[in-house]
Amino acid sequence: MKHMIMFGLLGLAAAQAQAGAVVVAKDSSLGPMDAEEVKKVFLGREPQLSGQSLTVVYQGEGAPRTDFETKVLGKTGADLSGYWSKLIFTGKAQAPVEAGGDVGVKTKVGSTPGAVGYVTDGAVDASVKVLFKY
Amino acid sequence: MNHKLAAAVCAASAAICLAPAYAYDFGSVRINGFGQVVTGSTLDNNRKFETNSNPTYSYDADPKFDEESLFALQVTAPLTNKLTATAQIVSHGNDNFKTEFEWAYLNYQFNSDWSVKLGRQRDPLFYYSDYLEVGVAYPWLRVPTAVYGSVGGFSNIDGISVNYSHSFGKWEFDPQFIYGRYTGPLQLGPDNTATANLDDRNQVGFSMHAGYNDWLNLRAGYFVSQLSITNTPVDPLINTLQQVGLKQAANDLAANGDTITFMELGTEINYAKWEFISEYVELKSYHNYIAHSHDFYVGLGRHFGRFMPMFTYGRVNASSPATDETNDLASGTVPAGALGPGTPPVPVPGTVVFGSTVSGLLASQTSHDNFYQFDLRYDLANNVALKVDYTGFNSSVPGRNSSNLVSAGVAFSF
Repeated sequence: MKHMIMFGLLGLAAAQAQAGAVVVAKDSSLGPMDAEEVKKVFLGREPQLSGQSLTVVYQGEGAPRTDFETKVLGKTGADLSGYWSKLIFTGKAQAPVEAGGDVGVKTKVGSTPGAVGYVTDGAVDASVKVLFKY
Repeated sequence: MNHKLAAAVCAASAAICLAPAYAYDFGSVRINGFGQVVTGSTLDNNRKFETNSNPTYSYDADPKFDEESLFALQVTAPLTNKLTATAQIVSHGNDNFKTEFEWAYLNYQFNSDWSVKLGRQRDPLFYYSDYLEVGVAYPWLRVPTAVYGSVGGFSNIDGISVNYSHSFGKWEFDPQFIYGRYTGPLQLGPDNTATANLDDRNQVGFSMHAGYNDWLNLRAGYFVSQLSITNTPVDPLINTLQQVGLKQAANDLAANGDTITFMELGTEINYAKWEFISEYVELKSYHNYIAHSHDFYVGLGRHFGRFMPMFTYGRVNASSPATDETNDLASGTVPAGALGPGTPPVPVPGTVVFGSTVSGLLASQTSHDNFYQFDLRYDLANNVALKVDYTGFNSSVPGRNSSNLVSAGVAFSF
């Protein structure tokens, strides 16, 4: 019985990880983005948007992150890590910061001007503005 | 930084704690790091394996652990919305882990495309210049010596660079303009037996990277500067030539503010698990004893899950830059014009001793070296790579016999 509940919960978690949203603080001046733009931002190729320096916020290891990386970035794991090493240690891009889970991302995005992060759909609330859905 | 320490630092600062490869975030200051521990030895007794590439390395038959090991921290602090300060602090094992600021620059980001860097930064001579010491960023245990050894031991420059970066559809372009100067020690080969003083000034350079859809990368660079090298074993010869009135020959040997040009072409193709990397460089210096060289490497590797084997062949072609004057001298003749305007070349027995020294010096600049490099990389984690390397070397230079080097190491970033 216990196992079935566990299984059920895991299934639910997996289902929730299916969709997510790119978010900024609710009062941010940034507007909606398309898939290509989101990719550029989260791969460090857009240091600024509308004159605002961006801080890219990744989630900690887990389903939401893997989901975002596979669906939106098309890079994950050692490949993505190596990609970032190249940008960071060449001074070509600022390292992204990492926040733990949906709550961590919302807190970071709310407290840092220019911060852009992603959360699962279920975590979207009035504290954030959605720029893109995936 | 081990996890305990990282945890302690995180707890102490109450900052958000981060997994490796993403910045440690102390408010808005970013801290990243990288490093490697490498051990190696030659397979042949009494045979050394040395080059004056950067970082320089030298191995013999007894394993060394500090030769190419290094540890680095990079700190970036935002000063204003558009201005950041970056320092890269590196400790090299073969320098007793003395810390050194390899980079210390200000970056002003005008907009998404344009930025300017002011201060000490990487001289973008090669494809892998920017992450020369970041082992996790390339498949080899060390970047191919045939090409990366071509400019001696310097990789940084103090100056200003203007950088542009923009994507047009699937193409991405990153041209860079740089102006600056490097002064510092230069290891002189073939066996790093002497340290001279290098002054590379008024360097003007332009490099261009074009990438297509993440799998094709092309790069080209061209650099011109004025080069002086002092405190070399060649100095006494040059001084003597000058004292006996052979000023033109002395000038033709000395590196005293002479023009030097450097050209680089690079290709990287990363397609369907295959990795092809190649670079070609051409170094030309005029009116001094430094060889003209054209060197290249070609490498082919393939990803098998977390494994990546790679084979790379590298070739050095360097040749004597003799001039009419040094040729005359080498044949025991006082060069034309040396004894007064319009005088013909005259055989003078006394010059034979200079002649043989001069021809010996020029010959010592000639080399044809082959490097056969086999690497295997294994990704232990996203940011930790285990690597083993075998490099077979042979050279046309008398006294530099063939040798074989095996090395292994762990490279990491955080």
